[in-house]
Amino acid sequence: MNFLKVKVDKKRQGFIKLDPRTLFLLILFSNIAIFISSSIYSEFILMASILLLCACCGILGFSLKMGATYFIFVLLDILISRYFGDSWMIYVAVGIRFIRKVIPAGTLGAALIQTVRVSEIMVSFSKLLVPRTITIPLTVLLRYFPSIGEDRRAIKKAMAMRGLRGGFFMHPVRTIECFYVPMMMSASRRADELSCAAITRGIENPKKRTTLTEVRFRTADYTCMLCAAAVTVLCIRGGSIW
Amino acid sequence: MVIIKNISFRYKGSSGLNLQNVNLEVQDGECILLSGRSGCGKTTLLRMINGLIPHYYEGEIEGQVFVNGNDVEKMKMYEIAEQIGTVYQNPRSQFFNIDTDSEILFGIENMAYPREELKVRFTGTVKETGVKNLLGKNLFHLSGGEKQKIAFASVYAMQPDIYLLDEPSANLDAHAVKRLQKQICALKRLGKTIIITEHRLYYLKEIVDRVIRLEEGRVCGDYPASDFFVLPDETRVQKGLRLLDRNAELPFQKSSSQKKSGHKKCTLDVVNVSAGYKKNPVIRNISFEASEGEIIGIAGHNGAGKSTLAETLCGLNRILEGHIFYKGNELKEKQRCALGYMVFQDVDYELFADSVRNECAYGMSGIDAGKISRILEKLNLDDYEECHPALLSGGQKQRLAVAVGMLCNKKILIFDEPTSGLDYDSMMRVCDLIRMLAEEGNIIFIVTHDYEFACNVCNRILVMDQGQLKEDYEITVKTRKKMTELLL
Repeated sequence: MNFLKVKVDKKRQGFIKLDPRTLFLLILFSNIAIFISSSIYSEFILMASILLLCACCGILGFSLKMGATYFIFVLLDILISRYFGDSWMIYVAVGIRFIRKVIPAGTLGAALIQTVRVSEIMVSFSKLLVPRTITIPLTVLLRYFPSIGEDRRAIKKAMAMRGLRGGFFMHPVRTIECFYVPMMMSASRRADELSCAAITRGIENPKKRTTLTEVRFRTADYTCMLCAAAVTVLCIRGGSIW
Repeated sequence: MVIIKNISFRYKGSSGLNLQNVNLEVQDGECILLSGRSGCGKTTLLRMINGLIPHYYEGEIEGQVFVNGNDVEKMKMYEIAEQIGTVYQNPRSQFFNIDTDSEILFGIENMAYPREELKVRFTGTVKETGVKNLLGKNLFHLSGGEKQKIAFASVYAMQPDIYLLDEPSANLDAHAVKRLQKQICALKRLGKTIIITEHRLYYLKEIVDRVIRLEEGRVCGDYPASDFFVLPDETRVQKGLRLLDRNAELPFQKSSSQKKSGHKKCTLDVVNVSAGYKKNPVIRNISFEASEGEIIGIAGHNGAGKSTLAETLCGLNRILEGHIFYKGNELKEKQRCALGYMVFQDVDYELFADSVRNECAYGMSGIDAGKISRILEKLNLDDYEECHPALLSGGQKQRLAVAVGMLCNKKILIFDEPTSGLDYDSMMRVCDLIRMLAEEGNIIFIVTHDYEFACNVCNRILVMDQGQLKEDYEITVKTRKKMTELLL
């Protein structure tokens, strides 16, 4: 899974910088488009434009990897449907098709995490008048993801010292058991400490948040939204406007 | 000014009172130290001042706390936040963002200053707190000391009048403690009011004006600093306080060779070991010998390779070059894993089961029930056999992890910072535990920054520096001074 690892170690910068609101909108659009889309060609256009956008946002490597993954799933889907379409393999094909359909929106989501700062997301939420009761837990969640990695490494070491070797595939139940308790313990402790740190620094302040880096719609945002609308229409019409 | 009037408090679900009739006045610009044993109510008192009680933690309160004339209970959390800044003990989880810049800005962005003001405060803070070299970095990649610097900067940017520091030195090495000392002095010069809770006391000697000693939720001593830091050694030990003066003479362990009059049999032989990442070894060419019953401290700055060395000894890292022999046989990775056991600083990560007894048997087939009982009894855990590990105290969890190591027949036991944030009594209990393990013929390694603890228990010190073993000496009258310079 290391191949598809989402790198959150620092915020990537490309030659365009999107408002988080645009990215949220794009995720919504791409979800609608992909599940309504009737032709595979319009889906290709959608995926290609998403990958192009990711590359422009400064995550070229990630976008190439996602492209390759998507291509493999499309290939598997076609091969299985064509040669084993009338056997039980059809169920596998359905699973694969589902993953294929999720990849575009997943790519955008990962792009959001990799290019936008937590504080920018918070500002864009407050601009969208999202209540704090939603914003705060959501940002805590974003902060929690990278700490899972820390926990995982420590637990793996502890397991190795007890001779509990063999990963998830060898001993699934034991592995879940070993991870479950310490992860829960650590999550509840972290949540508690994080909340304290956040509220003693005034996260509950009802005034409209400000940021040092300006968050607003720029030309790039409008262009993206126009393109997204066009691709969505294309997907719905199934390419028949050509 | 902070005024605490007749405060009594009990946490929801707690059986006894956590604070009883506490009265305290802190003048503007004063620097106060709250000291006392673990669980004496220091942290609870800080929470009463910064409003976490009653706004976050629930419980029964009597009495009032006033900050600059306002009743804390009636203020909103974000109003308190503008006047009081808190730096917490655990640098790991007090940051809310992933990158350092956003973290410094976090508080002032919450306060919704206009962009111009944000810029001015940000550049000012970066300059005054000396964090320029940390800008633009991922907080997850910083050392404990660096994380704390950022936490400090973030609070500093909000320009509160009152600073609360909750055991700020608990996870820091000697170098970072000195930096912290300077930082507190700088705040004091700015005329800020500072309230510190702390176990490590010596570094505050020239800083604090007044010391409040708490015991079981009551104030039982209010000393001017000049009286407190000269308390005779017996008194401070009896009150459960850690080292007060860095020049004090401490008793130290006789090294094993002195004890056994020169009979030293080498059991563990580490020859030219390098380990870490393939292209970039973290530790290089480490060689030393160790014999049964030795208690060896591993010291050095953050990032010097202490933990990598410790992990390599218990088989968690692959060796790139070199060999490790135990009783003459070379150890492969898996064998090192079977021989070495590390007790983490965060013991929670190594406890998996739902009761103390099950924890001991976890993952081991055909273990003798009598043996478990014997070992639990030895470690004073026999009364807790059916207890859930999560409900144990910190020290009990540590002993449970040790019990697991003993049951797995480990011969090399490694402790990672076992005494960070412990009071004198708890530290001495850890010392007893480690001495007992050494007497049973184990080889003990302790990764530590704690001078007093090292003096009490170690008989030898390995000093790591930039991935190499810089020094290796037994602790004697002669090497004493070197050790003081290293750890204080």
